[in-house]
Amino acid sequence: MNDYTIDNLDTDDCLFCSEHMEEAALGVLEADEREQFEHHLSVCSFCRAELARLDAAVQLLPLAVEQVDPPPALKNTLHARFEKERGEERIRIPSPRKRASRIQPRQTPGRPLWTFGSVFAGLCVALAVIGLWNLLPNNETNQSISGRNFQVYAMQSSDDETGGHIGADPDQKDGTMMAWNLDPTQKHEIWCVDHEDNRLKVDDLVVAESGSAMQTVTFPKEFGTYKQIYVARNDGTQELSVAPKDAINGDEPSRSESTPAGT
Amino acid sequence: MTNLRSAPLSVEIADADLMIHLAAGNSEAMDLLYDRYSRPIFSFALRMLGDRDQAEELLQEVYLRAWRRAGRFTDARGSLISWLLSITHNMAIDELRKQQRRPQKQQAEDQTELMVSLRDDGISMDTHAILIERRDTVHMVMAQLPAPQREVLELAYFNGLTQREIAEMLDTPLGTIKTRMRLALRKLQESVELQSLDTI
Repeated sequence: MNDYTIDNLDTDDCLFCSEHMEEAALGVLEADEREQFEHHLSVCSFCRAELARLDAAVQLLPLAVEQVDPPPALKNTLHARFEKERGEERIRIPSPRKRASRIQPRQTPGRPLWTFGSVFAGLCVALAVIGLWNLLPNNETNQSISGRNFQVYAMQSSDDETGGHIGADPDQKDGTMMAWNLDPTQKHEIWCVDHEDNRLKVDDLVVAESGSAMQTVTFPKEFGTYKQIYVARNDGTQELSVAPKDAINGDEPSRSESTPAGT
Repeated sequence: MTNLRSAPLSVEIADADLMIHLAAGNSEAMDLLYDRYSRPIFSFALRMLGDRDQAEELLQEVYLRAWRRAGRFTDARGSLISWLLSITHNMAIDELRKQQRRPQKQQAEDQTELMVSLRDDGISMDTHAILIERRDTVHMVMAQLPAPQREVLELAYFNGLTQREIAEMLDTPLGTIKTRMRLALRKLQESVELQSLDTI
C-alpha cells in the first residue's frame, strides 16, 4: 500500500474526507460519497488514523441505550435455528475425500479450457511462486526467511488443469494461497481439517474472472497443526487439497515442492 | 486434540477462544455467547428499529452472522462486544434503509430517556465493570450535549439518517446539521480520550 506522506498528500481528497469524517464514523455516508471516501482511506494513513479516533468514540454510543432483556424464549429459537443451519451447512460441506461422481465438468461447452486470461494469470502465479523461491536461501523450501520457517506447498488437484500453492510458515497462522484455472462462476471456500477430523471453514476464496486466485489466509490455529487444508466448490466438489503435516515431516516431498533447478 | 465442535466449555472461557469453538459449530459456544451479550445487542437493535419483533429477528441474524464469520474475528482489533455491536449497527441500518422507514422528529426530553440504569447478567465481573464505566462516561457526555447536537447525533447513529435526510426532516440548513454533528462527535471523542477510555 502506498500511503500518502506529508510530501504527497492529496489535499483535495483529505479535505473531502475531513468534511465527511463524522458521517463515515456514524455509518451514514451517502453511497456515492462512500466510494470516494473508502478509496482515499485505503491510501491515506492520516485520514485512517482520524477515522479510527472517531470510531473509538462512536463505539461507545450503543451503551447509551436503555437495556432491555430479550424474551426468554428467544434463546431457544436461536438455538433451534443454529442447529438447523449448522446441519444444512454440514450437508453442504464437501468431504475432503472427493467422490468421482460429484466432480462435474467446469467448462461450459462454448468456453475454451485455456483462455488467454487464464494462461496469463497462470503465468503471473508461476512467476510469483518463482519469485518466492528466489527469496529462499540455498534454494530449499524448508529454510528461514527473516526468522520464519516459510514453505511452499503444492496443492493436489482434482483434475489436470486446476492447480494451486500455499506459502506458509507451519508455526504461523497466516499464509498465502494461489490457485489457477478454477471455475469463476462457482463459489469457492477454504476449509481446514484438524487431527480430530473437525472441519472448519476458514474463508471464501475469491476467484477472478480469469479463474485464478491469490489471497492471504489466516487460519484459526498454526498452519502446521492441520491434517489437511482444502478448497471446495459450493456444488460439493473438492478442488484442491494439501496436507501440511506431511510436508513438515519431509517424507512427501511432492507436497512441499522443491525449488525448480536453476531458479 | 479436543473436538472443537462438541467440547464442553467453561463459562469463564475467553471471548477469543469462545469464537474459535463457535467457528467450529459448537452449539454450547453459541449459547454462551448469547448469555454474555444478547442483552446489549437486543437493546441496541430495539433502539434502532423501534419494534420488538424486528429486534428479535435482528438479534438472531446477528448471532448467525457472527457464527459464519467467527473465523475472521480477532481480539487484536477490538473486543467481541464491539464487533457484535458493529454487526448489529450495520444490519440495522440495512434494515432501516430497506424499509425506508423514517422516524418522526423526537423531542429533546424524549432523548434524555436513553440514559438508564443497567444490569448485565451473564457477563464477567471485569467486563461488567468496564461496561459500566464506559456507560457512565457516555451518559455523562450525552447529557452534557446541547439538545440539538444530541438530536443530530442520535438521528444519524440510531436511525441511520444521512445529514441531508436529517436536514430535510428538521427543516434546517445542511450546513447547520454538519456543524452540530461535528461538534457533538468531537465532544464525545474528547471526553473519551480525556478519560483514557479504550473502546468497549
